[in-house]
Amino acid sequence: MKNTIGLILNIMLISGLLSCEKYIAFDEDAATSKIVLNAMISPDTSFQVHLSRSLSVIDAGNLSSISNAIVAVYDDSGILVETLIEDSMGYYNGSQLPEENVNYTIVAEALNYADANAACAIPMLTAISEWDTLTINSSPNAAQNETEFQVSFAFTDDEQVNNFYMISVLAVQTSWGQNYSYPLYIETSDPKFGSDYADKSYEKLLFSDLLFDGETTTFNITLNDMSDMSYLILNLYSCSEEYYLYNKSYQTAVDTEGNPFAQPVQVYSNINNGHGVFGGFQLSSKIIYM
Amino acid sequence: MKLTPNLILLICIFLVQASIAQTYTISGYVEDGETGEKLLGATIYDSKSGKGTTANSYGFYSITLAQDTVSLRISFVGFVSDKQTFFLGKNTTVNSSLNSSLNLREVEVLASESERIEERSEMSTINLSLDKVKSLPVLLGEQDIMKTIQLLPGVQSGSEGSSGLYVRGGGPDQNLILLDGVPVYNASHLFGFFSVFNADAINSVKLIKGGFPAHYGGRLSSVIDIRMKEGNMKEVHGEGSIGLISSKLMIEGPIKKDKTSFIISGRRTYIDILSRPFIKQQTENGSYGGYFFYDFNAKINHKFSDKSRLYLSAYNGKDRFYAVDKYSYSNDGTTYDSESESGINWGNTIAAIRWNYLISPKLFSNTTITYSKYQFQVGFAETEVETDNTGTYTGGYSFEYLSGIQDFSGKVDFDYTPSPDHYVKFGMGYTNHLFTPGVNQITQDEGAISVIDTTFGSDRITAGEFWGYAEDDIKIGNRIKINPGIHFSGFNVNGKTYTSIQPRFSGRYMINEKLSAKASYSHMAQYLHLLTNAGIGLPTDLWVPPTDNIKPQFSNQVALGIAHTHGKLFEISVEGYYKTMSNLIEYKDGASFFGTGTDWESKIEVGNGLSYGAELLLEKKHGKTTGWVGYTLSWTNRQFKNLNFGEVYPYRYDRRHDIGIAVTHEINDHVDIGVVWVYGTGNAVTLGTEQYQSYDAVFNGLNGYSYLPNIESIESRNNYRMPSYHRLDMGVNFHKKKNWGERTWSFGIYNMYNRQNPFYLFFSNDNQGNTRLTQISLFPIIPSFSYSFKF
Repeated sequence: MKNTIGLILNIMLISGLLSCEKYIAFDEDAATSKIVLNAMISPDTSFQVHLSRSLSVIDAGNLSSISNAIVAVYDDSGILVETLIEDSMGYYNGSQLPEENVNYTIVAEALNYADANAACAIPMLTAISEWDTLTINSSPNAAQNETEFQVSFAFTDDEQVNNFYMISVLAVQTSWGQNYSYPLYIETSDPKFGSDYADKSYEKLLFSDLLFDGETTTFNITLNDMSDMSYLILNLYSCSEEYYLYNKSYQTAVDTEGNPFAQPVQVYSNINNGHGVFGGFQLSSKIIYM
Repeated sequence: MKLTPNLILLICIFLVQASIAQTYTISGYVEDGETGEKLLGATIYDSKSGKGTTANSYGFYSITLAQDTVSLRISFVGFVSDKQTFFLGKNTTVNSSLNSSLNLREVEVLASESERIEERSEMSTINLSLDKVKSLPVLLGEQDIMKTIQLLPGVQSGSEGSSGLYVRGGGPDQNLILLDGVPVYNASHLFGFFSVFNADAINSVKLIKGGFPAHYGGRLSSVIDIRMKEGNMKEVHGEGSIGLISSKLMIEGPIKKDKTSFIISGRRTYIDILSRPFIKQQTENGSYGGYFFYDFNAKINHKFSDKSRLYLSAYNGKDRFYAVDKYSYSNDGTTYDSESESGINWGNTIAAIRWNYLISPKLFSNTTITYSKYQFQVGFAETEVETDNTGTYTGGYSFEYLSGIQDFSGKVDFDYTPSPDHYVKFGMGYTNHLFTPGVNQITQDEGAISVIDTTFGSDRITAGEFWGYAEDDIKIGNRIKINPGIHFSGFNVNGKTYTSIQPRFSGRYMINEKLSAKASYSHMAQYLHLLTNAGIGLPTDLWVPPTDNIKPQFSNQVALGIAHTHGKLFEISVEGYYKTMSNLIEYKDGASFFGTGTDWESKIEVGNGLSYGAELLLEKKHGKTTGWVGYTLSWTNRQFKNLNFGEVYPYRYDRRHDIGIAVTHEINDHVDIGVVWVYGTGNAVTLGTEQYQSYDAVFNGLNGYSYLPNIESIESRNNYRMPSYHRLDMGVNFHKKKNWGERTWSFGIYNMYNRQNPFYLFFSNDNQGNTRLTQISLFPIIPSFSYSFKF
């Protein structure tokens, strides 16, 4: 019996070393590259689309841009608005300005890729109606030489449709006659932004009108790091749903990248037969001088 | 007055008929003649009238028959039937002690003598044989009820080695695990690799997957009703085992013969004790650490009279990881000594008092008061001692994180058997829940002065759950038996009350003598949610109540099936089911389970689930070769408005095919072997399949200073299938009678053909820098042995 037990213990020791990590076949290894179409349109800028290719997640190749493609824009009647002209590095530019509430379809055709298409409309502009700097104080929470700055702003939401918004704030510094801008991190405990922004600061706050549909509402945000700035630019984006879903999910993906305990994040795409996003927005900006 | 003669005649006829139909009740308990242990579910059958009943969860039965000679046969699988013939002229108590048939060369007790599967109105219900639990090979030789249940159709195991159960598409929180009627919240040791139940102390295990009788409630997907042994009423006995990672001992016996009995059992792992000297050798200043778990069961059973019995039962189990670090140094005549201790502890504590009282031969009552507590604790404490010429100064600080749930509960249940064609159950109960979703406590001392002593985190939440039910097992003619019932429950939390009326139905129709068709419907409500990370059964899982935003969970399940006994040995059942679930919770994209103690509502989404499929169970319960083959074909999906962009996606444990084969064979009186083979479609996991540049990366328009990584395209949640899981385990037991009792050497091999089953997938780079899909496997071929004894 002693010999038997000794043998078993030896086998256990050996087998313990076998517990392993191994490479296995990846079923999506041979995934065909697809067109990646990225475009955000607003009435102030002519159509601009970028095309690149996707690769299998284990492919170490370049996510290179796609040349010699045909990129056409159609309106909601299916009439060709224009065919975009290839610029360089995968950018395709148009000459016409898109209009709000027109449902545009972009179709991209390129050799060796399946045709990709996507549709989107620019939402109506919602403008900032009021804004104010509530307080400027040296918060005990703020780092040394930083000032905490509270901003309130208001706008009226259109009751008829589901609306989506994005807020960002740029700090502008003037040096040697040149303006330099950079995004500020925004903190808020305002429940109207939803619960996602309660704990941390973000460069962009994305929110829907779920909690203030059809109302004129005032929002409060807090900004830090106001040193040496000349003025602030407060941006309110009226977003299409595609624009909102993409930015919201991409923001989460960036925020949790590399965290093995975080749930995986699906980044939104509305490109048929491809990847990327085609969204629309309008921008209402206010300059706040310090 | 002309009617008077007619009226008298009518009264006479009524009285004659009444006297002809005069009935009396036979009642009593059925027990194991050797141990006095009650035989739950024993069959009582009068062959003259063709009427019968079964013993309830306390071994009590009651049958009301017409005044006549009765020929009573009391039987239970594995025991020789007790046959009694007598004239029933008054209410009669018949307590029956059955003797084990294991010593008989020819097995006489066959399926025909117990209530056969096709005769029972219940469906989706399996009574697990404890002998099977003890004779089948298992990981590291640790007998495990939950792992044996995983081999049954309709039950999916979670990750490799885990004892978690996923029943008919439900989550691990949707199983009502009852130990002597008390809910057990976390039934896992060592992150789920072992369950908390010590098989030596268990009398019976019943798994219900659908067609839930109305007396069960509170969970959506299954009931695992585990009854502890009551303790040998006749003489002191014991059994135990010494295994690779743990040893256990159970002792039972009479405190007063045939009146009061006790049973105690305990189990502890000892890896930490064995390894401590080696760890101390390897570290300076005697630092050490380790892990252990233990569990302890105790029960006292006292019989006041044939009408009145009292049971006291308790369970305590704990897992503990710990590390003690010591550090000492001197500088300028001052000596500094510091000692820090960190640890993770979790465990359940359960206690129950039950009083069985026979109000009348037809009316049995059971009153129960229970306490159940699950607590998880992470702690770190450091003390520092500074000694110099002037004296000694002490200081220190500690951090502690606590979460858990605590229940006080009271209930009263009645069994009423007015006639052999009716078996009525009704009752009610109330549970007071105390939720502790996550509390942090920090203290800091400087000498005798406490400079910080603060507690923060989620508030404790008190809630009340109440319920009532009624059901009747009705026999209609020879072919139809139905069990309609209604379960009403409510939950009060933060001033809000949720209520639910839950109709239940199950029934069978005898197509012929050995084949029946069955159907059931259950509406279930669950007033608890479990915040759990995907897959791994970490003790950090949090039980939380419904809130204003997160409603209770509900399910509707319909099942249809057929049941058949083939020959006298094989039971076959085939069932199809369709189950919908609502108000399920899942973590949002990007949410992490760290820090869920606070603001957990903001990290989750609420949605629905759907599961449907078919199950086949072929079981042989008698003879030298016994066991079962189970096969499940199923689809399980989830749909959440704010997950997967509102599209349906497969549940992580959506398993198209699941096979479990468990067979034991008795070669002779001294040797038996066991074989287990399992196969399951790979789990569904979320993996990026393609990569591409983001809009922000190519335009960089809105915020030039941001980090803009490429996007990994995830087509859908749980879009990728792990490789399939399969494994063969084999074991052999050598039994030998000794003067003092019996000993058994058990040898087993887990994962006989060393299949590298997937536990976790991720992408990594190989030596050439290529990105590769990488699989982590946990358990290769693992031999085990144990020595067990009975006296």
